[in-house]
Amino acid sequence: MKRTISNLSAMGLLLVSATAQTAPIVDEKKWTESFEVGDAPRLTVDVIWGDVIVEKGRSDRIEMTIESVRRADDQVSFERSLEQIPLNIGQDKDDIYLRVGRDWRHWNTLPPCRGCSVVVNVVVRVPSNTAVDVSSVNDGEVIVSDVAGVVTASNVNGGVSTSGLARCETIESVNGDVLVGFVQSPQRDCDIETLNGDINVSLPSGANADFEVSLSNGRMRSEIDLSPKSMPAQVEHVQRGDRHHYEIEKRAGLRVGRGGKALTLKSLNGDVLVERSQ
Amino acid sequence: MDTTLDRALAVVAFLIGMFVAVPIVYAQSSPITIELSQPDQPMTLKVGILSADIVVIGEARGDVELVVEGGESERRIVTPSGSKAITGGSYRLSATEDNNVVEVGSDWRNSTLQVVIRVPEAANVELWTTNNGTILVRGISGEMQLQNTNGPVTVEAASGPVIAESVNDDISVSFSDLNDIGATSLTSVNGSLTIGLPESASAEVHLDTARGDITSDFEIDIQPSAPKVSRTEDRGTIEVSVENAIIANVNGGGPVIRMKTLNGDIQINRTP
Repeated sequence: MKRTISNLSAMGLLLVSATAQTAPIVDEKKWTESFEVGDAPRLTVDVIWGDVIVEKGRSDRIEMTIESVRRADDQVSFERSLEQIPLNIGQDKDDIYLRVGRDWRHWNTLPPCRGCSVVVNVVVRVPSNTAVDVSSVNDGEVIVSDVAGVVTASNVNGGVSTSGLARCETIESVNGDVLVGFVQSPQRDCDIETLNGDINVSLPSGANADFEVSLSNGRMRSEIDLSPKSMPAQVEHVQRGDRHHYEIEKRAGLRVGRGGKALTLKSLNGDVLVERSQ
Repeated sequence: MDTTLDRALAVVAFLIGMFVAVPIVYAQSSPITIELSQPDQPMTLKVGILSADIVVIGEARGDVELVVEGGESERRIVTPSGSKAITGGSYRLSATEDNNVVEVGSDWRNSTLQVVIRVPEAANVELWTTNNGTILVRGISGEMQLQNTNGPVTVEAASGPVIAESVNDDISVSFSDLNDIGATSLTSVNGSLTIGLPESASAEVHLDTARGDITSDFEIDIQPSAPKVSRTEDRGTIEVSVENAIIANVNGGGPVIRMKTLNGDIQINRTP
């Protein structure tokens, strides 16, 4: 099952306001979607503008509440935005997805759609064991709470806030803060990164974990006692033709409790705070 | 791992028309060996690290071996039991081999790295570091260009020409063989200069220190010379410099060794 909401709106099912030829075209709507899922649900949400909020919901369904605002400077641009920045929502077995925009390679071959935007604010309620992979780019926050499945969450010009996690793969932002809250000791290794924001990691009392820390210009503070841990350097070897390139990185290691899964903390210009979960 | 940063990197790679190969990632449990494109041909090693103790050792080998240590910083973490140093070290470093040129670099600023590189003894070596670092080169017969702003430069068992500069520290170069090599130059502002020559080595030394002593284990044959005045006109200004070097022959003269410092001594030693 796959629906392209942009096409539906083009068919006139939605309100399109175009009061004058030079006035911006704005298409606003709000609706819900519900998908029945099995034992191994997966959720993927990729938006360009807007908030993505994922919460724990029913055990057998993934439910989305979606608010979208499609905007373009004129009718031509509006039509072009439907082609270039579609909103696709669908289901493939247990995989549920919401995506705004096409693959960047496709974008690169199309004429520019200046002034076009599709702001999508989505709230998704998922079974607790859902594997979640969500992202936004501009004008939004990414928030995930009380999900026990593997969580990947990213943002570019906004923050990422997660809580009640058991396992994550990557939680990252470029220019926003990153908050990662665990409800138990982390159950898998996880990369937590930001370039220009702060990192806040909270662990419950008695939790065990290892931190691999790479800070350039920030400070680190912990409300939990940490002990140093020796780390080996990581070598990444890339060959392009006859050219061999090696990136060698060694991070400082810190241990919480008896140690456990590795949480990689990387920030260029931000601080790191490790605290107890409330 | 399909993350936002990865996607951004992929876009950049596409735009510059480059093919990104799949990287191989491994833990460094042993030295990193960098294979040369042409192991039987001359190679060049270039190392530039802001703050590092750089050691380069020439050996009978056809590859390059790299060991990185250190990265201990003064970074601390504030914990409930007090402020603690983050020990264990951390750093980032890159190395590239392209057509027998190996470049090693890092913009790591938080701490001093210790880098030990083993290369073929005929390698040409170009090294620079700036702060809190040292340069040590041993057993190289190729050309050496060594620059350390605030630390010493030491060369041992050299049999190739050396261009060495240190602004604020000493330079010491010891030759195992001076036959058929190009000119050598040691330059400092606030450091002393020492050169070690084998008993039978022949050289023409140019010695210039403004506020230091000159000593030699060798009998030297001082040549008559006059102050050398150079005049440069550029954009309306005239720069006149006077170089008043002592020119002397060791064992009848040979390759030119130029040693110049402002606030240091100059010493010519006899090496075993």
